[in-house]
Amino acid sequence: MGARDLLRQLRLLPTYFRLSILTTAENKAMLWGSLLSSAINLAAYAIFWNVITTQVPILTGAGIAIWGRGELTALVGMSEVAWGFGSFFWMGTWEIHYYVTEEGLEKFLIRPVGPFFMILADNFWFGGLLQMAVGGVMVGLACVSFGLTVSLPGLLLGFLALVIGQGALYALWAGMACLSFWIGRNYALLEISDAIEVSFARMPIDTMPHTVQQVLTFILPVIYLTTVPTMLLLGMLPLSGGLLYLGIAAGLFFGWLLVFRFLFGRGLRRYSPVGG
Amino acid sequence: MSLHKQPIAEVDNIVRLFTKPLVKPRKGRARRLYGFLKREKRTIRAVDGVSFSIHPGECVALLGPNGAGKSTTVKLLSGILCPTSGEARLFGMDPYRNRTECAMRYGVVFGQRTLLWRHVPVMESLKLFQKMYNVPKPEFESRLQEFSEILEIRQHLGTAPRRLSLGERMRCEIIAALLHKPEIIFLDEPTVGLDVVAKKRIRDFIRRINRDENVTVLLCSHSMRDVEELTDRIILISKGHIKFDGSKTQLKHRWHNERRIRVIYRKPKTRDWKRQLHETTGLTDLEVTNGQFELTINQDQIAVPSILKLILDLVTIEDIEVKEPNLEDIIRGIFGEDEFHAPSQPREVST
Repeated sequence: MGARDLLRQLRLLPTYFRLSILTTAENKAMLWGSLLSSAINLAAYAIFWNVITTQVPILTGAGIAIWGRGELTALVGMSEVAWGFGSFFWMGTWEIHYYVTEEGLEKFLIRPVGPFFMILADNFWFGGLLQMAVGGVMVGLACVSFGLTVSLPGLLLGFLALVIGQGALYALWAGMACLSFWIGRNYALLEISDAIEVSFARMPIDTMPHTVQQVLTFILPVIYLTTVPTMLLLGMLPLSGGLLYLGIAAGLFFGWLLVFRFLFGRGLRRYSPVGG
Repeated sequence: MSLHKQPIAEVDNIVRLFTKPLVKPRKGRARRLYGFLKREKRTIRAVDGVSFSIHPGECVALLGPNGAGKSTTVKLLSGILCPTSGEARLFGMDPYRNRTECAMRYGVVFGQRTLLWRHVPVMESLKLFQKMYNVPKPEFESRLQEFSEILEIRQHLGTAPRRLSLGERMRCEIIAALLHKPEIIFLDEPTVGLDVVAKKRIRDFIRRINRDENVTVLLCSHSMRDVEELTDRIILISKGHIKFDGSKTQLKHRWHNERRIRVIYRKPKTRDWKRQLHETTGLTDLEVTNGQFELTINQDQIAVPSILKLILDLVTIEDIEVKEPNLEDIIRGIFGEDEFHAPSQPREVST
């Protein structure tokens, strides 16, 4: 893809955002449902961590000590920001297998823009931005209620880590979705991604066993979704540590993106249209 | 048709194989379990050595029974599919490798599926295409106004495609495919499922853009009316191979030399006129009812003037009509009744 193609795609983004808003407005029940599920998720995790930190004294010792009630509440809010961003921007990766096996990729392959960009843009979910806002409010409330301080560089670096980490994780899921070119419907395979993101992204990964931390840092980029962004946001990480994490996240992003591009390219070569 | 120009689209000995899962009943639990764990596959030749070229301004029909390879050929030419072997060229480029460049210069309509955003007003999809294809705003507005008035669709541009009727949606799809002034348009079943009025409106519009804007048209359709009215050239494709490539007249001449003669007579001139007609012509399909009869002759065996002279000698004529077979009769004759309406058998090459 040349610079001209990239520029054309960027120019299309505002129009796609507009289409996303209109699509969301057409499906109001889905919007309210996702917001309600966000609120329930947040409440459940906030209550869980509140119970853990106030009623189980043994866990407040070494390891989890830097994560007080305020930090954990902010982490829960950050997880919703990450979830909302994924729903808004990366939802299309979940749909690749559906297009390959059921609806067809034709509508993306006949346009003068990259098919992967179109799949993503076609599935922008404006409700995700509202979920991000809900998560952001929770982070803000945690900061105000527990007297946490947030710096502007911390905020920017934290959000950058989240964006890059999410990119890396969804490039990996997109690659998995591309397996549908060979094995047909693989929705169940994609649910693994859901399980990993829901299970691990809402917990401070730096408190987990070393091997799990290594896997979630160097293979599955889950640590960059909530743990690193929250630590950067609240100044729990020195700048050098934060930049190192950002570098690793960027490396994973490009690595998984290359894997995805290879699989998508090979898959398109053997693509059989749905219905002739 | 300007044959001295370079072809706008061409395929050269193109082959496309598809792999499909093989479903076959197995006896015994162990074999069934094996079949569940390991899927066997078969390879099908959807297009098998097809070659043709299309020149700028031509209006070509790609005809064949279901599963003949028409849509696959269109998808190979539009860069949606990659050929297994052989070469496809569009505007002198490989459409698969230069998909973006080619897509800027062609338009596509798939009658079976929508290419618009289902949940938002049609106008929003069109505005997106305007930006996608870099169409200047004044040009976009003037073309949209012109096309929407011709196709009588202006009042529906504010409605989402999922709320439109099939005919209204198809007219919107055609506008969307033509807004960026494509040099060639691929129409895959553009009138499928439409009523006669909607079909006519779309046919008139396609003829107009072919004539006025010199847009090359490649049409896949099962509607012989579309083909009769729109195209100059017909490519017949069956089981992945080309069976015929030429003009409508050539097709009629080559494949069907039959004429149907219908005679209304006042009275026979001789008592045994039927026997004489049988003996002279060798025809056995004479159907006589209430002062009229019909017979089908093959011009290779007996010329029309000879049979007319004979009929005039045998009966007193009130009216006589000689009918050429229409295109649908010819196509049905070539492919056979069953093949024309049922999917053709897959062309398996290996398992």
